[in-house]
Amino acid sequence: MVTLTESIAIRLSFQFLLVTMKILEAQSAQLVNYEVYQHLLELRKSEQALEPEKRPPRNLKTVVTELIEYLEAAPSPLGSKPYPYKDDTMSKLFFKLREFKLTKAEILMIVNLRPTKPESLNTIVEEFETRFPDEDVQQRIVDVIVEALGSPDGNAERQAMTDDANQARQDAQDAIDRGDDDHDMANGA
Amino acid sequence: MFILTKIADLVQIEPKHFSPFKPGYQALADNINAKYANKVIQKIGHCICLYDILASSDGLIGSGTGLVNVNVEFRLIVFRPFKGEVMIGRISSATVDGIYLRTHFFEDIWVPKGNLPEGSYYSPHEGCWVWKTGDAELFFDTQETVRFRVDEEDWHDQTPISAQPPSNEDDFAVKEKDVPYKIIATMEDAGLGPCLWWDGDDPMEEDA
Repeated sequence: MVTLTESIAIRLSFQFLLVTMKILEAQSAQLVNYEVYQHLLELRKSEQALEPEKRPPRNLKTVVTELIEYLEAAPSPLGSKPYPYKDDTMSKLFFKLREFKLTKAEILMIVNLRPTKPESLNTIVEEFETRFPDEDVQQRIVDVIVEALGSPDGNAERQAMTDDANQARQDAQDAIDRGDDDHDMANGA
Repeated sequence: MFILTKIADLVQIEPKHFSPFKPGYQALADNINAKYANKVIQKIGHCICLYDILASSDGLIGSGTGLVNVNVEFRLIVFRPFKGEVMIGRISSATVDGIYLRTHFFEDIWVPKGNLPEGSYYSPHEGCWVWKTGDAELFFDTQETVRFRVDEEDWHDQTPISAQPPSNEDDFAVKEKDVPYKIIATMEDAGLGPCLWWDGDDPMEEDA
């Protein structure tokens, strides 16, 4: 049964679609990149099972494709081989990092960026040198991270970053050339 | 970098989407994604996609249209890096005032020149920023992968305020430049800037 007020409310909402949105909780949780990545892969898999005309909206497809690309691009650990994350990786890592009293934000960045030397930790952890003046402790944190997440293949990673940059520059140049050469191409054809 | 945001919304499903071939959940999910995916909600962030549906009401059919109205509570994955978060991005372009960064899915990251390391200058010849440290000159080349720290957020509500056209052309120009959600970043500290500067001398690789 739809009451009169309800039906008025429904009709009003046809006109003011956006107004129907209500934020219940601006931030109910934080996700690490790994969780988002897993969700996107599952989403993509379930999409491919559908018939073309039932595939989800295009704006979703765009952002999912781009985000997966981003999460796999070097130096993200999600794109490195062997794949560093397993189901129990996080809980193990959190457990072992507990003794160092890092903040939640710092642990989040450690999981996402995988710093594997004290200098990289220094960028992520606030007041790193003051809080962990002992170099042995610094090294212990790094060892815990490497043990849980592995360490990157530095050469391959740098090569991938250089290649990506060159490719992007090439694409940009091609786009400019195409724009400029419209006339020539027309003549050539 | 990513958060979950809990939202309640009225979802309207068109009759053509209500078929035995497309389960009800899929119809709701598609509807929510079509409305939110890849869009900015002010003060919340850049929405990625639906995470899960927590609750939904019975569908009510309004008079006249045949649309099925369902009240849904759901959670979205939202891109909203916290202040101080270190992230990876790419240099998309440089001007005298600073450097524009982007990620594959988000383009509006701005590093003003004050947030570059001391001793940096803009080289008009190369079209990029250069960090002069001692004798070495390090280049912020375009398309280079960089690490940056989130410093501030800049929100601009895109909702039209009035139906009146802007009184002069300057107003119009300014309005067009404002993006709904911009991240102001810094690359001033050690370890920030192009990853290749910092990741080179890894002692663990030398051992290997």
